[in-house]
Amino acid sequence: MEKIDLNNYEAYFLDYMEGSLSAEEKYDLFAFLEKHPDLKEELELDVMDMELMPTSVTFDAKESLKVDADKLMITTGSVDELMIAAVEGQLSKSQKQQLETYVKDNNLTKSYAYTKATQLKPDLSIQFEDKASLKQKTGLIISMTWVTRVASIAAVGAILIMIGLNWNSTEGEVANESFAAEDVKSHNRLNVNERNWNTSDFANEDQLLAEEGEQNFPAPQNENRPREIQNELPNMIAEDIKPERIANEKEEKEEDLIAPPILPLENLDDEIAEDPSNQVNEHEENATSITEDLADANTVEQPYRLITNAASDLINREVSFTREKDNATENYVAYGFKLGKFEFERKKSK
Amino acid sequence: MTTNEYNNCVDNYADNIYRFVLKHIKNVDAARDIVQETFAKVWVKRETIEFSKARSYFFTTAHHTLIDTVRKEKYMQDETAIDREYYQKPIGNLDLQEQLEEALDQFPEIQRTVVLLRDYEGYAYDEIGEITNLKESQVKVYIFRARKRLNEILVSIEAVLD
Repeated sequence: MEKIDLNNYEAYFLDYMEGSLSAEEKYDLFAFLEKHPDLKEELELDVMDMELMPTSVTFDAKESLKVDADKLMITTGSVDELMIAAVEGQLSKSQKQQLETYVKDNNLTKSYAYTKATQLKPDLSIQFEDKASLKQKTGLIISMTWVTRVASIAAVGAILIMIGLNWNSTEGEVANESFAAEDVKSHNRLNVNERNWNTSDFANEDQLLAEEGEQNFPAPQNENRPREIQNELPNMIAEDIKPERIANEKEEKEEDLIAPPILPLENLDDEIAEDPSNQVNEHEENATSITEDLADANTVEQPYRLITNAASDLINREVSFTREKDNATENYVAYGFKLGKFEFERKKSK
Repeated sequence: MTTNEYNNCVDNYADNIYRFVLKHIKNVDAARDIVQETFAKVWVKRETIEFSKARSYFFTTAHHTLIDTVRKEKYMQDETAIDREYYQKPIGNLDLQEQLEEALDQFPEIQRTVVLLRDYEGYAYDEIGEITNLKESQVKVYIFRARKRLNEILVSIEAVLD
């Protein structure tokens, strides 16, 4: 409390009479009264005798103040919000009635009408014209669950396999037949009368061919053939090719079908007939090359023919995969892949 | 939601969504694009949408697409798309609904959205909150303030009431 002076001594007097002054404040009050003895008389008045006593007056409009769930407290400060609440549909029927009564009694009808008018109404003439472009077709839709996906993949795979099998069973058979025919021809040429060739009786070749009905070998015009070639070539060819050909005939499988080497026997006869002297070198070269090839003894295989044939049939291009096997080491030394005009080859370094 | 249910929604809600968007963007072509994009988005997610809640989903998607479009293209500034004759009329000479919509254009976009959803589509406060990502209390505040402001505007122009 601030220090007592002539401006606030009355407050000190009141506190003193109520007994709420501290000891220090009482000391200040008495010191002040010593300085102002004329104010001492005021303090000596019995102020407590002027205390008011409560009366028995009561408020008779208590009921109007009470609130229940359906009663609105409408005042000048709340009537605007209550009108908006009525427009928003937030008031009950009873509450709305109370509000309208209040509005009528207080000349707020126009204001209430403006509030009601704040509700917008959609312009139904505005329409989206091209609804058809938003719609989706209701055709039969097959849900691509995992089951149908697996089934479709299996169906495609089965079709490919069937195509591949058909290809092999038809054209493959034709090819096999042609190869077999070639094999038979070659085999017969080389091995039917093997003992004649072994005996180096090359002059009997025409007779042998004629007996088989072979028309492709014209009779050599010059019978003076180098006997070295006559002796060596048939032997080399017969001895080296024969086992392979027999093996092919007996163990022929689609994936292991081996393309027979092409032997220029017919060309050999022609060349000998035309110019024996010059043909000798060529024959030697041919013999050498054939010898070299045969000496390598590499087997060319075509595995996965089923898949490559199916692929060829699908894309209408030649597809082949070959691998060359070293018969001595049983290792694959070269791989080749052909797709149409493109050919890839990989050879392993020795 | 099946395809048939989706197509039913096209018939039932395409006009409503178009009006709602057009009142915001005031550009017929942009509004058409937004409607088509809205239905396309809902079609993609149709299998996750219950038919009973499709209407709210459509309006929510339309609202989001509308906001994205406004932010990207700012069509509100495209004066060529605005009916100049419409805007040349003083607000006092318009009919009541035109006056209201003219006044509504002065409001913030979110408040305009809330009022349109309430008055055009009759959505409840909680539904509007879901569509606009607002709390129900916020929706109520926006609406109450909008009504109060519209009331003041109508009083100030002494609009003729029916």
